[in-house]
Amino acid sequence: MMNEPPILVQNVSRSFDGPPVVKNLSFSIKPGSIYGFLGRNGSGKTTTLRMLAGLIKPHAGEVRVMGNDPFTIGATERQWLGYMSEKAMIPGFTHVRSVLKLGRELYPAWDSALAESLLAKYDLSPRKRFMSLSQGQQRLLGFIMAIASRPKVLLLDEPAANLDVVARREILDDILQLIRECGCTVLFSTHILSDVERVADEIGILAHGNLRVSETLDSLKDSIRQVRFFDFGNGSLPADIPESFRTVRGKGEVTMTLRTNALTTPETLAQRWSCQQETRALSLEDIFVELSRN
Amino acid sequence: MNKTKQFLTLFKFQATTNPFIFFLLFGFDAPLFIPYLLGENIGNYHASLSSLLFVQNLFMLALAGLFILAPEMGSPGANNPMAAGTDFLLTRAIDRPILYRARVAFLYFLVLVIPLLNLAYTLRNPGLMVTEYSKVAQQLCLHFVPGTSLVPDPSGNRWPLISMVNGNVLIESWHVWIFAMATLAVQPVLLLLYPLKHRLFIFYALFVGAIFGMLFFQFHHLRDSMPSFTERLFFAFAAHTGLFWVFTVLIFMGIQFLCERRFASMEQ
Repeated sequence: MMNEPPILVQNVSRSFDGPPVVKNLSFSIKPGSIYGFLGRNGSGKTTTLRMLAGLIKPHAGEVRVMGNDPFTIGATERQWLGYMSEKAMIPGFTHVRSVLKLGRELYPAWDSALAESLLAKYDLSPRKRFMSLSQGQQRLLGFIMAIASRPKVLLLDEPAANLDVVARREILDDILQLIRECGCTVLFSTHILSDVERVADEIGILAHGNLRVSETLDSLKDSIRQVRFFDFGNGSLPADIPESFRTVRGKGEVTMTLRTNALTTPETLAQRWSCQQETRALSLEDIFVELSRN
Repeated sequence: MNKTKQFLTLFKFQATTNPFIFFLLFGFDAPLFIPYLLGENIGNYHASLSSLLFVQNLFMLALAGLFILAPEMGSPGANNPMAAGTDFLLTRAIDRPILYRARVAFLYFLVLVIPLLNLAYTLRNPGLMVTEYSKVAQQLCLHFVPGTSLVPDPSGNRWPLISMVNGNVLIESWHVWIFAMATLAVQPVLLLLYPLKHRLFIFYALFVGAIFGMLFFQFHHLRDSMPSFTERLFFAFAAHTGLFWVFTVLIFMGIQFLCERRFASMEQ
């Protein structure tokens, strides 16, 4: 479909011999944007990316990448889908040059110059076997394999894991460069909030298989507040409200992490409950922690 | 990208992923190959027909099949050198069935290369004389195997020898066929086990069971001095070689078609 976003996830659920890892997940990513997927370990980030990469199927709902079911697409459609897995699953004995040769032979749009320049930049020797690379170097090779095919959709599962600060920055710069050059759409999962702040246009926070928020970083920072309500006129604490992600009740006070909007502001709530309020703006890290906690 | 180019690329890539596979297969084929190196099998005489027919290390094929067709089944570790990167390959610009086809082709190549070389080698010296102590087997051999006759043993042994005009060629054809059939059997077994939770344990249970099963059949045969199942099958093969190969190719095509479809629909 012409107007379908490059990445579309609709009401997706998936489990592995137990409770769902991902529950009723829905989001879409606009063309040419970078979507940062945040979540704690086991929150369902990798499962979602593996569904988008076509390695596993959703048990309910549907995932679509460039208008196709990624599990059933063939070589032609896959040319435009770059994927870097969380774990380096390239066979250990394979030489770096053999891996690059595979890319060169499989992708008509393979950018050898880019691959060579990234090899030199990351100081990766083509003569080394994959197993003799450090974990960080293995990830860098995985990144080169994902990016040098000049994909239209790039899925990166924890691209910065095991990398030093310099390499991490360089990877982020390369992602931005790729987007500038070819308008690639990027979905990347990470724990590193500074990376998300640096490059992501939109953010999704996944907690216990549920997508808690999916919006731009600015909108997220503007709309989510931590508010302490105290000095209740009638002495009783208010009940929980749907706008609250997390409510902590103390002695004579309630602290809520709220999504504010035109109707629900700290002031209107304080007025409704006849109490005082104290509002605190949250950093991305605060928001992430608040939304990811049980 | 066309399928042939994908296939060739993936086939070549298989060869770079795990050098141990070559050692494994060489070890597996060595019992067939070493006698040729030593100049034993190329002679015209062998002491036992049944030992010529029985391939004692056929079960090794199951291991080779595991490492080539479903490597992640045996070694899921990310940094394990034996891991063949199925995730990695399936997320490249390939058609899923082509990856399986390339792996199957690589397996057949490794399994059949030495038996085929042996077969080519026997063309230089096709005739064979062999001792067979079972009267029934002797008669079946004379009846079914073309170009056979009984000749007196020149060493004075009271048991006559069976002379086969193309005996060496036939025996090596038999080896090629039995390897091809065993490889054929490995494919569906692995793909049936693949989605199971305890697939590796079940695989090794079957593997060990097959080893003891083969030994059991051999001892069973020795006890009753009747032609073994292997010998009977060989006689049928010798009598209808062309038909056996036609059926083998048809079975291969069927199994390959089903396995490719199954592999394409399986999650990793």
